[in-house]
Formats: sequence, structure tokens, C-alpha cells
Amino acid sequence: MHWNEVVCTVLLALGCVINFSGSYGVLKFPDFYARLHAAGKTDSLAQVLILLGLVFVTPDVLTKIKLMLVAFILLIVAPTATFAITKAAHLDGLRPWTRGGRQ
Amino acid sequence: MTGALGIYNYWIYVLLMMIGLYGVIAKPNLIKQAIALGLFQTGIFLYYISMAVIDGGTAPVWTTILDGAQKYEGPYDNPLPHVLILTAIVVSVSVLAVALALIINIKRTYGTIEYDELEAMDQADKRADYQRGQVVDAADDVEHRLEGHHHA
Amino acid sequence: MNAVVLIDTLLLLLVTATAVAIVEVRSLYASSILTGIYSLLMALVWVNMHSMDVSFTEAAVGGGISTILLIGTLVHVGREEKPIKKRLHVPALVFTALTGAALIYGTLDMPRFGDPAAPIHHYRVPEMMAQTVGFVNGTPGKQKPPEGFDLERYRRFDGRVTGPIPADPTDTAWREKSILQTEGLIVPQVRAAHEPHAEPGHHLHPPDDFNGHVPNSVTSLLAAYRGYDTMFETTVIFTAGVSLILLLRRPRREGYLQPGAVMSDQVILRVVTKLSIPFILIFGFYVITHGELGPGGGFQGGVVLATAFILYALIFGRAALYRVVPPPVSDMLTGLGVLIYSGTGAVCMLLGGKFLDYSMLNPELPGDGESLGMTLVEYGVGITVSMVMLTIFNQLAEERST
Repeated sequence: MHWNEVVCTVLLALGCVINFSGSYGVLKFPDFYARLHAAGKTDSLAQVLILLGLVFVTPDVLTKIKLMLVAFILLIVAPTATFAITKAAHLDGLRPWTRGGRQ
Repeated sequence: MTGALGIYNYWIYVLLMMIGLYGVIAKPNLIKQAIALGLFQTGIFLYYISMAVIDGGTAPVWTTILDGAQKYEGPYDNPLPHVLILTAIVVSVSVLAVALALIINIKRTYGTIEYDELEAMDQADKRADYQRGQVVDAADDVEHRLEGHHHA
Repeated sequence: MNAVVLIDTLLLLLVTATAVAIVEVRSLYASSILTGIYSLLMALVWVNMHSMDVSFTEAAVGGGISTILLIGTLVHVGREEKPIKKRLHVPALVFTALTGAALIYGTLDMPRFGDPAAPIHHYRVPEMMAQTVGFVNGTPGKQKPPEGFDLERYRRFDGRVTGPIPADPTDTAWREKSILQTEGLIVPQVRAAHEPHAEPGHHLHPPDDFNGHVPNSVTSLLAAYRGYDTMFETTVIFTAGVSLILLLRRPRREGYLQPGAVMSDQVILRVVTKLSIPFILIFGFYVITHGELGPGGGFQGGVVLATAFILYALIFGRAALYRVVPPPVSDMLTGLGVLIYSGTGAVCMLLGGKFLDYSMLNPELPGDGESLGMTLVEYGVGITVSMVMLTIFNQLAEERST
């Protein structure tokens, strides 16, 4: 295997693991905010890792630039979407979960 | 891929269509029915796209025209079903939008979007009209309402 | 079992599970969100089946627009389904089982998935594509040339070939000749054996209706071979927009633009929205313009453009959107798109060709004429689709404030 394929494989595997942990968190965490925390944070990182991994194996320079652009935009837009969802839930009156039960 | 494994795609399309059909028949909520109709459509889309696939094929974009260096000798998938489904998807969202507009109007007029309640209300209306001896069939019903509207 | 089949099976199982959940879950809100997930899964299925254009459309339309529309409707019809006593509707189940069994019985006669010998891969469309597109620029892509195929003569058809075009004494009068031939006034020359379809037509245009100079065959089929179909699909979308206006638009009263909970007081949302809207618009236009070269086109690009406006309305309120795109303007643009499409066809007809015969737009280089015509048509589709989606969104959102 060429070195760039190795790098790509490592990055893709890392992205998949992080994505999987995010999915596990969504199923495991107690309330809306915690679940969104798991989903939002891991998604942003995993997407970037996977796209960067693909950059290493793409022969075409233009495609590389496009992939990096997509990764960059996702890095900005995905957390913002998470923020918007959280804010909407907060405005709607959803209170975070606490150990002693709902406030 | 031989035997049953070769046509499982078509079974999934049947499954999706039937899930959609079940939703349309069994669910009284009109929004749910509109969504289920969408599922039904997607089943058909899947059927079309599955037919276009050819073994070892790739997306039907002729790279030879853009870049003579990258020659691809293998087969291409059939683009015709792609074209049909591409337009059908956009039309399906238009259909959904019109359905939603009608549902909103129904909600505005009747106050509910559950099919069985709507049916019950219509039946009750008809029974009341019949008892008053005013309307017996739908055509009369329309005329009656128009007249009532003019008088009002 | 290879990897593609494995991924395909997994995705289809996920899709089926999501479909069951969509129908069975009681909250309509959850059902709408699941519809979005379902569409994105479907987009993956279609990438796996090499149908990039369809996947693009599904992701933009199903994952984006229709979810927004559903949630916008739920705002005023309620987000919960009425509880049903019986969870399982037995007659429906029996009926669907019987219908499904009949359909599955029908599939037993289908050729297996991906069979190269299936009839669909051997009928008119693939045959003609192999003849035109495969040889463009003199690089046979798919098939060997037929016996006695004159590549030099064929190269003349392509505008992109560099080097001198071989002088042909009949070229000067090719236009008149082709028109006369089309009208049956002169009998075509003795048919050359090496020409695949030596029908009466003009010389520079490949003698078929596939317009094979455009790399993305989906677009060339969309705009040329099925040009009429696409035109009337656009008209269907236009009609949907008009229906929405007729069904939901009511006279403007005072305060019809009362803003709801506008998100523009959130700095993060405001900044990121302002930052991303130009990119979304550029991407939309790129998708429309680039449709003939790669996956994309008027339908997808139009939806992407519409999402930019919808995002603006979601964050800054519809009053701000109406200052940017007033309803009369969007109504007019809705019709303009259809007009551009049919107008392109009419121009081709005025230039002496058939309706939507794009090569007429540039008779010297038919390939460029086709590209130009398809771009025009794609822009027509894009304008109509984006403005109809915007109108639909506006009407559904306006309902709330009245």
C-alpha cells in the first residue's frame, strides 16, 4: 500500500469510530441536549476526518480543493446548525436534565 | 449473484411500496397519508433506478469528452431511468406541496385532519340535511350551498 | 458477494426500517424528520447505484425542501396524530400482503440485478448513445466503431476538434440543402454505408436527437431527447406554484407580516447565515451551469437556490425576504423560467430547425450550440423550480401569521 492510502485508511477508520461513538451517545444519553451534544460534536469532527482522508487518495487536484472546501464549510455550518436546534429547543421551553430530576 | 440474490432489489421496492400503501389505507391522518404516498413513490423510483444498473458499470458521464487521457472502456449505466426519476422527484415534491395546501384548507374548514372524523362530519351533515328534506344528492348539495351563499 | 452488494443490502435494510418507522410513529413531527433521514438514505442508495443526478435531487428535495414544507404545515395542523385504538389495520395488511405477493410474483420474471443482457441495456437509447457519444472527439469510449466507420468524417461533426476541418465543397450550402431535404424536396444523396443514421438532416449535426456532445448524458437526455417531457415537467411545477397561490394566498391585511420568533438576534446564526448565503447562491448557479458537464442541472440547482432564500427567511424573518424578493417578482420569475425554456425551443424553430434542436443556435459548431441551448434550458428550469419552491414556502409560512 502506498503511504497516502495508509493515511487515508487511518483517517477514515478514525472518522468511522468517532461517528460510531456519536451514534452510541445519541442512544445512551439521557436528554435532548446531551444527545445533541454527542451527535453534533462527533459529526463535525468525523465529517472533516473522512473528507480529509479522501483528499489523500484523490488523484485530481480540483477534487482535492473541492473536498477541502466542503470540509471547511461543514466545520462552520454543522456546529451552527446544532446551535440553532439547541436554541430553538431552549426558546421552546425545554429544560436540561439534571441528576435530581427535571427542574 | 444468481437466483433470489439477483432480484432482491425488486423485492425491497415491493416492500417499500407496500409500506406506503399500508400507510395510505390504514392511517386516518391526512399528513401521514401524504407522507406514505411519498414512500410509495420512492418504491417506484427504486424500481426504475435498479433497472438502470449494469454489472461493472459507472455513472453515465462521459469523461472521455472532457479529458482524453482518462479513457474508460467499461459499460455505463443506462441514463434514461435516471432522467425520468430526476424529474419525478421534483414533481413529487410539488405534489406534496399541493397536498399540504389542501390539508391546511381542510383543517381551516373542518378543524380536523383525521379522515374518519371528516367522514363522520360529512355524514352527519348529510343526515341533518336529509331530515330537513332539503338535499338528497351531491349535485343538489352544491346548488343548495351556492344558493345559500347568494342569499347570504 | 462483493462490497457494492453488501453496502446496497445494508442501506436498503436501513431504508426499509426507516419506512416502517415513518408510518408507525405517532408523532407527525418525528415522522417528518424521519422522512428527511429516509431521503438522505435513499440518496446514498442512488449513489451506490451510480445515479448521481437522482441522488443529488433527492438530497436537495427530499432531505431539504420537503422536510421544511412538512414541518411548516405541522405548525398549523398540530404535531400529534390522533391516537388509534387498534395499532394494526388488518384489512389493509391483508390487502397490501396480497398486492405485494402479486408484485413479487411479477419480479420473478425480471432479469437479475445488473444483468448486462437485460432488454433495457439493448434498446434504442444505449444503442444510439454508443454511436454518438462514444465516438465524440474521436476517442471511442464504449464500443468499437461499426464496420467501415469513417472516423475522420465523424470528427468533423465535433466542434472541439483542433486542427483544420477538411474542406468539403458541399459545406457552403449545407443549410439550404438540409432544409430542402427535410421538406422532401430533394432526395438525399446516396446513403454512405459508414454513416450510422444517414437520414436527411444537416451535415454537421450528428444524425440523431441525442446531442452527444454533452458529457453528462443524463442532462443531454433530459434537455434534448426528452426535452418536451422536461418542459412539461417544468410546467407541472409551475402549476403547483400557481395552485399554492390560489389555495392559500389571501388578501394582505394589516400586520400580515407579523414576525414570529425571529432568530436574527442570535449573533452566531446571523453571521453564519450571512456568510453562507453567497456560497449557497454561487453553488446553486454552479450546479445549474455545470449541469451539462457533471451531475447537476436546473432541478437540483433551482432547489439549492431556493434554500438560500428560505434560510434567509428563517433567520431574518419573511418581511426581510419580501424586501429582497417581493411576491410579485417571484410570481413573475416563476413564469419566466417556463418562458425561457419554451422560448429556446421557439428560437431553434425560427432558426430553421425543429423545436428544441439546440444545434441550430450555433450552426458552425453544433456542439457548442447544444451546450448553449442546454444551459439556457437549465436556467429556465432552475428559475422556475427555485421560485416555485420559494412561493410554496412563503405560502405555507404566511398561513401561520394570518
